[in-house]
Amino acid sequence: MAVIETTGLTKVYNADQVPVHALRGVDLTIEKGEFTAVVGPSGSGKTTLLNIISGLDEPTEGRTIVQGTDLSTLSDRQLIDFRLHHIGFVFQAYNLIPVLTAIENVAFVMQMQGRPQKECNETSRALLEEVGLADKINKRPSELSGGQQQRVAVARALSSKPDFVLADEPTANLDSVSSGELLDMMLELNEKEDMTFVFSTHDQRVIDRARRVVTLVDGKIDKDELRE
Amino acid sequence: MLTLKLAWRNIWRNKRRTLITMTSIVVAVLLSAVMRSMQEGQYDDMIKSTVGTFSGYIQVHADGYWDNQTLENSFAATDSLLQTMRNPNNVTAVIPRIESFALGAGKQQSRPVMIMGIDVEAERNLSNPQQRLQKGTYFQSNDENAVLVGRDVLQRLNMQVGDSLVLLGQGFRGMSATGLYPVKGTVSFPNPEMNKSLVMLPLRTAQNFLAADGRLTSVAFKVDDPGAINPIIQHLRTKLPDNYEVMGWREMMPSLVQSIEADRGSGYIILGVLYMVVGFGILGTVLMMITERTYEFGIMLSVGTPRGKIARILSIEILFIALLGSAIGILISLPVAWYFHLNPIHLTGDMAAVTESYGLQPIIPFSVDPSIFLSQAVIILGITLLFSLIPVFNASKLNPVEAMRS
Ligand SMILES: Nc1ncnc2c1ncn2[C@@H]1O[C@H](COP(=O)(O)OP(=O)(O)OP(=O)(O)O)[C@@H](O)[C@H]1O
Ligand SMILES: [Mg+2]
Repeated sequence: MAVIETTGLTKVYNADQVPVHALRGVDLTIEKGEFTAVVGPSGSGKTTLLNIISGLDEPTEGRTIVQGTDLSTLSDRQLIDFRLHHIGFVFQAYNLIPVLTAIENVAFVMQMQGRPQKECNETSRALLEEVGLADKINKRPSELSGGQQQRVAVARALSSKPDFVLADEPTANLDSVSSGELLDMMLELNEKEDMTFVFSTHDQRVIDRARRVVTLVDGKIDKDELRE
Repeated sequence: MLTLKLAWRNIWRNKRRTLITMTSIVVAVLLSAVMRSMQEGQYDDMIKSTVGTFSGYIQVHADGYWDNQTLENSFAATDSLLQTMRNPNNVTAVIPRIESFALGAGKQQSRPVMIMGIDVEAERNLSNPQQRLQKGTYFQSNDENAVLVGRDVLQRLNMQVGDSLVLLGQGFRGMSATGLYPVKGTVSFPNPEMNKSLVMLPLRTAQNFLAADGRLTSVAFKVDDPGAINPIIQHLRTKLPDNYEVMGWREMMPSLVQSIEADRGSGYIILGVLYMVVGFGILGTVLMMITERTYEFGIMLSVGTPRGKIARILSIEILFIALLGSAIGILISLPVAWYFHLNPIHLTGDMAAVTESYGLQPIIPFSVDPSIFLSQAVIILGITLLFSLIPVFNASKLNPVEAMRS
């Protein structure tokens, strides 16, 4: 079973005024363990697509099925719960809750899931070690660099044991060194844990590391390349 | 736990705003509590100077006397009756009186006067004429043939202390009442009407004059706790025969009660304005608090934080600030009120003249009734929560995508 399967996704913003067709029929299937970059010019619909896949936004038409669940059948409350248990998120920047330390941020989602405190602590610590921040676990986001903050965000995304991790331009605010490090780390997690990653990016060096590159142009899939 | 941790740390995230918000709550509680304390202090003073030092908080009459105050509605005071009245807890003293009207005449002038026969000993507990003496001396016994008169009576009748006052009137059952009594002294009352026309006689002298031996028109009560007269009234109503009426001061003096209520009402209008100002101030702060964190709430909702949790975190933050602010408000306003309770503000000039003309002392005493401070703190707390309700609700209803676009 595919982790993500979308059929005929369209999204029209401002339907009643000047309509903006952000997506025009996107069929996309993502299998477990894939490492997929969604690329395309600005305004091509990358963010819109990722938001719909993760149940943050609703398509105007079409369906999204995540691990067999049709997201359109879920209520708002069920969607929040679904995201909590099935999807890991990494956003462009300011992912973290400013008043919580790195380890508390990682544990946050697990605590939301109601896991025992001990498990939350141990898993969070292990994940922070894995992303190379063993010495920063008690730092607040404001004390971390942008790249370190994004790594904490990746650790948090993984902590909930999601079906896939979704990252909208995770490197957009990072310098090239930090971008490279973040990507290496994501790739490593992808290989070691077989974690599915879907991310959008503009950065050619990031694109070069992806195994699959889906190019959106004007709300449609223009190219879908597998690389090895 | 996590909710508390988040709320707590967020409170101190913007220390200055938290402190400013808290200060505005403190000031609101302080202002409203001190204003209420001043008002209630004045009311207490008004009540005390009319009720507490003259009419008594409770009176017993023959049934119907209050509406038709004549000697025909007097009653025979038996020892057992007085004993029943003394009985309830918290009654410090019962003060028997016989009251009527007469014409008072000096050598050249005559004026209508109020006659009041008093028990020479018991009366010390309430109006205490001895302490209010301006000239002369107090009565020796209840049989003494003498009168004490209000401060201005002598001047109105063109008389001196030591002169004899002629009283002409009607006694019990239409008997004619006449008497000649030396004026033993003058008494100064807080009430101008009494200064102008009150004539006090020892109880038995008055009963003789009015041909009403052993009869009284009223028994006034001195009580320990003026706030707790209702149980005494209830007790007296059940113990006394049906042909007696037991009245609390509120029933006897509806106009005093009304003017206090009216004044309290206008005070609440001013307070209402204050409450609104505080409310909208809070609304502004809470809106700011939420707007600043909209992006963060978007992230939290995205990663699966239940909406209720976001509302709870915000509510705890606001509740904490409001609770602490109200508590500090009480702590600061209590000593302020205490100070002015012990050292009342003294009025001078016109203000003093006005209060004196109402029979009041020219001071503003403050009340330290704890319920005033508590209720103001609770009201401000309630307003804070009320005005936070909608923004908090809206914050919990955010759309995560829109929140993160902000
Ligand atoms: N909430 C919205 N209301 C109206 N139009 C929107 C909204 N969100 C996106 N759009 C429009 O939809 C189109 C696709 O936007 P989207 O953000 O998905 O593009 P993107 O590929 O992520 O662009 P970028 O690379 O700049 O992030 C754009 O034309 C954008 O202006
Ligand atoms: Mg985008």
